[in-house]
Amino acid sequence: MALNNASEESTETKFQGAWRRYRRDTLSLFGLAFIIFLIVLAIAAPLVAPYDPTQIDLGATFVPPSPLHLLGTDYLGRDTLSRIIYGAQIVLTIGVTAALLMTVVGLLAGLVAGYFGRYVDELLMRITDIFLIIPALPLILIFVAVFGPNVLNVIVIIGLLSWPPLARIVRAETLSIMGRDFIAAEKTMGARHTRTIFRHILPNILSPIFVYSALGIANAILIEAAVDFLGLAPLSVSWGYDLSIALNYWVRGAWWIAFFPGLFILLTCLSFFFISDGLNEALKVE
Amino acid sequence: MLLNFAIVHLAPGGPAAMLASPKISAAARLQIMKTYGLDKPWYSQFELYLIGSLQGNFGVSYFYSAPVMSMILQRLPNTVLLMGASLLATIIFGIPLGIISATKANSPVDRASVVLSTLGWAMPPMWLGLILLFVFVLYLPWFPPGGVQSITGGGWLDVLWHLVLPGFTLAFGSLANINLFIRSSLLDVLKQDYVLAARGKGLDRRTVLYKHALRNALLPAVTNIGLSIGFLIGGAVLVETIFTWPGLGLLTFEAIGHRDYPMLLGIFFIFSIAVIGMNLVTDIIYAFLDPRISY
Amino acid sequence: MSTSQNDNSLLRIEDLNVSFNTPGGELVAVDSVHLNIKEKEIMGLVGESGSGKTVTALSIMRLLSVPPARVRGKLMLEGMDLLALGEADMMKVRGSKIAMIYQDPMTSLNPVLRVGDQIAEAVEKHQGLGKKEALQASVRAMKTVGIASAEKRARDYPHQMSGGMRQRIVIATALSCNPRLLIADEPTSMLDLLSQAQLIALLRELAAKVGSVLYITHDMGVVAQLCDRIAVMYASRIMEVAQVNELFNHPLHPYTIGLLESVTRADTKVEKLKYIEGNMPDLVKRPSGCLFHPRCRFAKDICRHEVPSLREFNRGHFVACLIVEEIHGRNRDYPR
Repeated sequence: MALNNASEESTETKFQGAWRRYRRDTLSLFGLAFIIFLIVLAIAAPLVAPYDPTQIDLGATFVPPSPLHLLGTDYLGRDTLSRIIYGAQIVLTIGVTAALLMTVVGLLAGLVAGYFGRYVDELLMRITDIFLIIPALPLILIFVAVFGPNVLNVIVIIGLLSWPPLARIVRAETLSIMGRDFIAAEKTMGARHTRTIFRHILPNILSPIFVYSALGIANAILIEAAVDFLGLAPLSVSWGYDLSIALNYWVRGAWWIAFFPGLFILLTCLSFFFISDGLNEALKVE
Repeated sequence: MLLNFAIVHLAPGGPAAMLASPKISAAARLQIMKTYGLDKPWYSQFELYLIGSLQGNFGVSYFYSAPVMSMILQRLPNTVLLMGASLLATIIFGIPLGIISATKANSPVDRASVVLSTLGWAMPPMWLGLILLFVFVLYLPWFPPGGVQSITGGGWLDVLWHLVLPGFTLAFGSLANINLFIRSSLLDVLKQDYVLAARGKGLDRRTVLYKHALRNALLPAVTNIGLSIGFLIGGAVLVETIFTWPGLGLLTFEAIGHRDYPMLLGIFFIFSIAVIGMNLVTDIIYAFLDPRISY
Repeated sequence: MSTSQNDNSLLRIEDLNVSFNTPGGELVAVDSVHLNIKEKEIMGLVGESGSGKTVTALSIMRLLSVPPARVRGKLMLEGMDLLALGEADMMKVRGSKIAMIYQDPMTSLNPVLRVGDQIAEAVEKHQGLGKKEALQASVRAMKTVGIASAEKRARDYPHQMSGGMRQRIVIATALSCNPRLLIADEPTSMLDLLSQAQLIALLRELAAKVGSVLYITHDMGVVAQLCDRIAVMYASRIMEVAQVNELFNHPLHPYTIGLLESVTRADTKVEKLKYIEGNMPDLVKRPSGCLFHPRCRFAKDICRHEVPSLREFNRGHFVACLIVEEIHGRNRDYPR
């Protein structure tokens, strides 16, 4: 295809270029905006929420959305809006931490598999195969049921089950980079393994990692909500947990208990999805 | 290679670890454990469990005081019905939708389907189920609130009527997945040289699509379907809980509530076998269809 | 522009213009191209990557997707304007009157279909044969391109064959319906040298039987062995057209001169590798006047303002350069 004239030197840094491409897609911007909004909510929760989310008010149970309780209350009279605002805290914490764990493990596994190849690779691939096959939710449920429903467990198990796909992607990318000449050059120079991996391979495979991590956050959030919903909630304020309350009392017609928390889960996941799409476009280049 | 990990997994490495832990976390249950023989040394327990599981005996449920296996078998058909229907719906609707989307890329139809599918992917299944519950059961009493049959009993039609809401909820997610997948796979294939070459021979668009493009694009979809079984299982647990559909999913939910470990392990085992089995089947089908693979 | 109208021209390309709408602006891939391909002639179309050769070929076959692309002009084949045909009629032309072979044999064959079937497809469609006869025809075609034990190999899949073999299959497909014009888009560039040589020999042999060939490449060496006439394309425009010997011995356009100088020959001693300074121009923001002027060592002021069109300098030798007389003198005595 046509080449640009040399006279038009681009003066923007890689970051600015990426940001410019990211901005092009309105959905990605929306995703980013929403997440930022959520982060603000989570941090400023005590200031923003009208009520204490665990505050019980038996005189005001099942109140539909109204001036006093903008999003209604649940069976214990707890204010839905506040529960959503505080809920943002766990959602973000668990989601991001689990995704972080998944990324770190998957990254290392993939790099090692791709770099060292042969037996190590085979072994790791078999392991990932097994993980890919295992039905995730049941295993998670058993794990949390057995080892106790606390936040750490939830994070760990979600992270532990999600790393295989990322590892595969990382491995594929690593392999393709391995074929390039400069790696061979490094080897002939006798560079140590860690140096090659971290200074040369890693920077080149960053973009799919970011993209996949964003998706991983969305996935972690969905799983966490499901776990909460099924009664293994680590904390009493959780969007997934609210959904289970809605289920228990649905005959009362209190649709707001189900609608709003679920809506927020949906929007949060969508946002991360859009962010990952945007990252995909933005980091493409080269 | 496939058989390899099938065997590896059939030996319940996972469950065995779980088996060890109840002793640690449930100190108050020493009495019950004695009754169920859990106070024997752990390795002989494991052996017993292993042999037993291969024979289909998973021990006795804590809660029901009845053999786990029989309870599972009782509920199994319902779950199979639910998952089967969802899978069918996914394939029958998802694949054509994906094809249409790809061939009319960026048209209003395509955009709408992409939007819906993205929503379907990001949507927590229980939310959809709950909304449907509210809308179609509470406000517009079109569908029954749950269960497989009406209390007064009923024939096939009755069951189908009960199947609609939970089936739809479960299918929505995997449909979205397949739709997007096929769309992208087909779009990729359509960019390939051999599609151009086929047109260069003077073949008309329909022939090019069906004979050349689809054969290649649908291949990876087979594997994808196999993988979505895993998703369907997780979803089934949620959906069955919402619609009180008496299947394995609901059983799981109850077992969690009662901390009924043998039950959970048994169910998990069955699930794993089902998933592995499905994936083996799809792998074989794939190998059969793709001439590049020799087995 | 004046081309000597030759009555035995098979395909007359008149004023072909192809442009694409890109986010950055309109990209002109093919600009005012006029070309005559005569009967029984092997015409070579040479130029660097990005010069518009492939787009030209694809527009002859009308294989470009029209919404992003805009194609204007006339393509006269046997009295029909190909650009005016409806899609149904064009489909009858593709594969039967004009056939194309592509660059990468691995990707231009469908990996999940047997090769024999892929050849038979074209035959079935254009000659209305039944499946069995079509398969027999395809086996015959495979024999023509020199594939041993053709009946057996017809049942193979593409991945079971070597690159050279696959390319032969592609050629067999193209020739199966006896096309009047064969367009070859860099068919040897993805092959190893040995296969390349074999393929070129094969093409030379077949070309005599086929009719006309439009051979697209950037490899001057191949073109010298194979073609009767050569058209040089640069950045969407044709710069020079001449008989092969004439072009190699007396190149007129500065670009052609540069191209030939940069080809290393086994029989001349070269001290430094020569190349043409600069890069291909941006096809969206094109240079004014002659597209080559920024890189031309002879460029004069007029070259920046006027667009040269293809003129006949010598009999049968056309060139698009405003100052060609100044460079070479009015007769054939000029310094090299």
